[in-house]
Amino acid sequence: MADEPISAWDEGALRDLLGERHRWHAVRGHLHELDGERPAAAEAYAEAARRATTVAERDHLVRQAARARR
Amino acid sequence: MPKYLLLKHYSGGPEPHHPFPPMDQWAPEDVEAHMAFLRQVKTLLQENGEYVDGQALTQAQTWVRYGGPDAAPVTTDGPLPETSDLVAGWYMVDVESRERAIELAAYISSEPGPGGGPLYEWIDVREVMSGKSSSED
Repeated sequence: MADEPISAWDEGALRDLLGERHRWHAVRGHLHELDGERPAAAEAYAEAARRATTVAERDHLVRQAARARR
Repeated sequence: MPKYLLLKHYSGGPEPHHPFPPMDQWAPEDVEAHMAFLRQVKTLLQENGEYVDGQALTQAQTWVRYGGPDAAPVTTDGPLPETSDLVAGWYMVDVESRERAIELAAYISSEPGPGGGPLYEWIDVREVMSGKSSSED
């Protein structure tokens, strides 16, 4: 399981659990990062940052996106 | 003393001094420098006694209007955020003069951008009307 790409994760179930909100995109970013898909991780973190509702979360997610793009 | 709203925009405003990508595409150290500068702006304003308020807004925009008698409010996301004027946040400052408000806005606009140089971001400076509004009499 750990070696399988993110496509093997049940994205639909995760989305249903978390909703189409910033945490869903943040989790998606983390999973992409675990798969070594850094550009996709950065895009997901950036989408999460655009939807964040607190300054602390927004700043953290922007940092995560910038770090993943490096 | 007059109060001014110094508005930062996600989009809209005059032609940018130079194009720059969203912050999530900057180098991590440039992101840190930018955030540290904005923290320092708040501290500076507070130490000067010029700080009234500062807030950031989420990007989700909902326009609402009265729907008419016995009708639900009408809402729309409005024009696409990419093409419309969208406020990102503000500082409310209490200053000696308009010149000081402009000086502060220019200082905020010098915030470091990608590569560490000034962002030259346009800041929307609006004076708050003094005195009570007629509805408060």
